[in-house]
Amino acid sequence: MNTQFKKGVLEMCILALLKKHDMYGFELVSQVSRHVDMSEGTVYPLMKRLMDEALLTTYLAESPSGPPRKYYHLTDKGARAGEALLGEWRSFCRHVEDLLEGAQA
Amino acid sequence: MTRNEYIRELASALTALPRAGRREVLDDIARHFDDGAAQGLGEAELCRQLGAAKALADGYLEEHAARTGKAVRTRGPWSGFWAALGLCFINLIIVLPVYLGLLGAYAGLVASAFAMALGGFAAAGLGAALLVVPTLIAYTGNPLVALLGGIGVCALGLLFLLLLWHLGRWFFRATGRYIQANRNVIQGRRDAR
Repeated sequence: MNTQFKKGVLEMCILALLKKHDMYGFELVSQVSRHVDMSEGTVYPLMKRLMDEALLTTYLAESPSGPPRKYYHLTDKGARAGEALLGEWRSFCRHVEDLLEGAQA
Repeated sequence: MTRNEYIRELASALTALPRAGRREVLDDIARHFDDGAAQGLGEAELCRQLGAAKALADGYLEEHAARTGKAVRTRGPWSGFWAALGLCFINLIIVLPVYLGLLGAYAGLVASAFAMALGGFAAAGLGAALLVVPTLIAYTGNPLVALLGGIGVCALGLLFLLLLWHLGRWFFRATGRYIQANRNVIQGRRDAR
């Protein structure tokens, strides 16, 4: 699949996952790569970009095991960007479905 | 691959990033290994899931390039050519004549030292021969002076040769370094490893 397209989808997935609750890096990355067949290394640079665009912020919190964890938190701007991307994604999928059904009929 | 190897490889692939950004990336990946280990995953497995360190670094470099609006590697396809042309010019006009001059001076010094050693040896030999057979040639001086003086001059010549040999080694090593520096400039490496 086209890499740029996949990156866009991955960004949306990151934003959607963080809508529920804050996650630390390893947790977030393994959640994404569990569903999307892409190496975890693809996700980290995207998280960095989302932070630079102020869609995410981070904070440190104690962990039950080992050193403090870095948690990722969705900003208001990030939540809005996530909604917008999700809307685009849904309408894109609907159009593709329509097209496929039309092609089969 | 171990965690340390992975992080080292990542660090060396990220040298183009600003120091703080690079520190942060390495920190994040170190945390990833920490948390992965806490979940009971082995280092080799975590490395595999992260994918090649080079690919991860490329992802970060791409993001950085997109954000700063300029490619990390600003050199165009022709910059190597222009660098080579410029260096060629400088080398031909300035460096080569000086280099050849030095090389000539060096060869001259080696020849003189060699001649000294050889001449001294011959004089000493002649002195020794005259001590044994005084009527060998028509020589009015003291054969002992010829012998001792010859040995002295020969020793001095050998000493010079030894010094010149060390100087020559240094000289040729410097030549090698200069050629390597030229190559680095043409290939756009900022520092040789």
